[in-house]
Amino acid sequence: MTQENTTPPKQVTGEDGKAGTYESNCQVCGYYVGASSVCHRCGARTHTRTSIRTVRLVALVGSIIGVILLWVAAYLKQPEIISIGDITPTMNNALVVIEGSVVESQQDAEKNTFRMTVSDNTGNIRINAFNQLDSFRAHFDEQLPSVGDTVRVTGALNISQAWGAAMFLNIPERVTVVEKFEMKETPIGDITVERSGQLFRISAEVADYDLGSTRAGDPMHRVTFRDNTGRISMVLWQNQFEALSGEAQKAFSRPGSWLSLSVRGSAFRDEPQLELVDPGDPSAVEVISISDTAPVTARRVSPLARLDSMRIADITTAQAGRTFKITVTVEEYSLSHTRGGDPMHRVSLGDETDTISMVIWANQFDALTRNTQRAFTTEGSRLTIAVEGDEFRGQPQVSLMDAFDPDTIEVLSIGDRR
Amino acid sequence: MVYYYIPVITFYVLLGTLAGSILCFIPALHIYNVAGIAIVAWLAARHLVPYYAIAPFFMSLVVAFSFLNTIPMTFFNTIDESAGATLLPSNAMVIRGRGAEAAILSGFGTLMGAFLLIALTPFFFYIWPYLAVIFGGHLHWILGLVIVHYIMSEWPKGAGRGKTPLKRWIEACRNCFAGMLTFFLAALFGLIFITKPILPPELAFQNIMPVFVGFFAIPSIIQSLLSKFKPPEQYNPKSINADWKDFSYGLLPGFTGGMLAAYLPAVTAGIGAMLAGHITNHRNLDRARFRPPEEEGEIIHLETPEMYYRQERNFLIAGGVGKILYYVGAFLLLFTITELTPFGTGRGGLAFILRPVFSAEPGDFFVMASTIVFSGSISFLILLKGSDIAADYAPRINITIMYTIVLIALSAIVYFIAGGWIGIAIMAATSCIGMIPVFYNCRRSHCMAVLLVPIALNMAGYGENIAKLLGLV
Repeated sequence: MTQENTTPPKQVTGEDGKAGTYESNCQVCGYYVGASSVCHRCGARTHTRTSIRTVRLVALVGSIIGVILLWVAAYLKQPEIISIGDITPTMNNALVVIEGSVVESQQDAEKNTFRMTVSDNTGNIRINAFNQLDSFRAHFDEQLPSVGDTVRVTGALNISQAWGAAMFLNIPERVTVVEKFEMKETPIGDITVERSGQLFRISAEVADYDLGSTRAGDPMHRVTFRDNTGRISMVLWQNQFEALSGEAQKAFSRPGSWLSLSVRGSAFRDEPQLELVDPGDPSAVEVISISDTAPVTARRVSPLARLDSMRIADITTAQAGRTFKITVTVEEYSLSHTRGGDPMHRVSLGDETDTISMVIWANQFDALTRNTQRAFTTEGSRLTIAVEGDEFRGQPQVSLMDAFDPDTIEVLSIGDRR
Repeated sequence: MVYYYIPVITFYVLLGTLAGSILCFIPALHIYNVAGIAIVAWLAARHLVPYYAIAPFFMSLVVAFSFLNTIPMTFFNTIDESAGATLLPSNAMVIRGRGAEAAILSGFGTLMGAFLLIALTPFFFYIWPYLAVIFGGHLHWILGLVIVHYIMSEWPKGAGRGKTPLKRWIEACRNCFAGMLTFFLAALFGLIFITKPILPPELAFQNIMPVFVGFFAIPSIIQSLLSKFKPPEQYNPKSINADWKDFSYGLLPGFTGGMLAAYLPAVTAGIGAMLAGHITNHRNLDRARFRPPEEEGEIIHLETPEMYYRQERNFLIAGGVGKILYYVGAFLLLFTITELTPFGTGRGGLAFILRPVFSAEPGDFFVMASTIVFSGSISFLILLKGSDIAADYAPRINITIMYTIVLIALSAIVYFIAGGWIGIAIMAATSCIGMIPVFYNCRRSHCMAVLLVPIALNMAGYGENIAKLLGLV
């Protein structure tokens, strides 16, 4: 129930001696108080008070001026340039400027996403523009920041314990290309160990090509290039080789072919060496000519044939990093998930001496043949597996040496317990 | 969980509960301000506090806050962003000398909410992740609807005042205009401040602190200082005027409002309570009754219907439930790590403050659930005793001195933690905006537009474009 406030304002003489209209309602709750010094409803005092009208005016004017001043301050504020290495947890959400060179750039047309990694010699930071690839392409006129470019990125830091520091951009104006990197055509003779890490453009002939294999049994492509100033070698891992176009793969594997490449200098055993910058980028690998020479192939020795066999009881944490093969029975299988939500397959493997656990990650599991997947998920299956020794919380465990190579796993029998 | 962790975690839960309980008695000091200071302290001496104790410590801090901030809110009229959930009836009860009862009613609701959170564990793991994923991509327009509903539900008050129709119309709509102005100014402030914060980068994780101190704490202090509000003599109740029916009535709106606030970004317990009230309250007030005269010629008295008092009780209980779901539930959801939600669905200030230094692991949920029960039970006992003490001392405290000290303390915290004079200037500007609802009688939660609007726009992908229009990019 509320009380009607029907009493008109009174014309009285105030303490200052001036006549004026003084409200007879409580200035806090609006209840009629008449001549009382205390409001009967809310207990507020009704005299010796600052005028509410004054406070209202201060609130209204102050808030409008406050917003205007904030806008002016924000307009004039230049975000601080910081080093990536100086980023601390208390900087979460800070608007900062990072200046550095792009060391990795990725375009995902399917998800309309552009990502790049920027380094300023104190650290790396991931810049993500989800669902913004089109707007970035339009803004940069298809010349998106690429490896080697010096960029200045303004954005809010997003720091989490799980993922570290990153920036998320919604508009391309947040990125400025300070210096577009143009790879200089460099003679091979000028590429020295001291210039490791620098980017070059070379035009050279494939002098030699050798298809070897890694310790894990993966194909490894060794290519030697030459021009009239010298020779230099490059190693291409299988995933890099597969990222090349078919034409480039042909050129690499045929001595006598000529290519123009974007490369990064590196060193191996005090000798200069080359790394291919971005095998997937057609502008990084240009085929000048392909030789008619027959492609070089190499006979591959199965990893299972060349690896030493071990009993589980003999596997200790000292074997971490070593590769060997084990013949085991799947004792137990369980499917769980990583924090990232990816499936994680845990397998307990046993032989007559002991049991040991192995984790198969989602990408590894997906690379296995159907038969091998079935063997791992069916308890009682027997397999011979090329594995790498590993350690988890002080306990020995094993991991697949190379899930992508079917020759590293031999299914001996499929169990009958799922 | 290794067994020797248990005594260490128990120690830090007790520490957090006691720290939260004591600090909550300081009117207008928000627990997120305390959490910010605690994080800075921990970063400086992280080797002293084990990593696995961080989450239980902060959880107990916020649990204690959910229970015990009821006391300064009730007796000293100090407001935070969730005050709308509990404050209105408790003010009236303080005037009637029933402040302790109001605090205990709200505390009972909070205790119910704590047990509800535990009882909801299967819901959080088997149903909630689906809801979170389904609604995850739609949050921007859901927030848009919240904004529209929120502004529209500020109805005209004060009709009938004024001599001319125009004056009566202005008087009636004054609070609506004030609400819209507050909302607009807060939204504009948020767009500018969030797009281009002017505080130094190393203080960025606390950059919202001066904004909230200005929006909520300072106007409350100014209001109390100006009104010289002094609570009347308070009773120490031996029982509370509520039965199980009241608790069951309060549960549904409390749960609805609390979960809305826990899940929707920038929706606080106050806004959640308003939405929940509109969703769940379909009962009409009893019609006004007149007491029959006992003898001829006696003046007939109008009886206040019992429904009014029941709704008062339900409001307080629901507010208590909603408050813990908002503060504690939002943080607890960080630990509901499932296949669909591998990073949990946690929201709220505490999850934001801890994100750079802490990430939840599967299995932590049950440590947190135990923390809630343990810390909640202790906090409730402290609340019972604290309400008695507050009821005894509140009428005797010199409010002017108390609020002057609090004003100086808050200004000092803002100065030292949130950017010196820049922080003070931000606090001053937001204080002015925060005073509009106080002195024009509209909802104070309109100030939450400072986060609601920028978050909704950023989720929709338009935040940066608006910033471009403002010339800030």
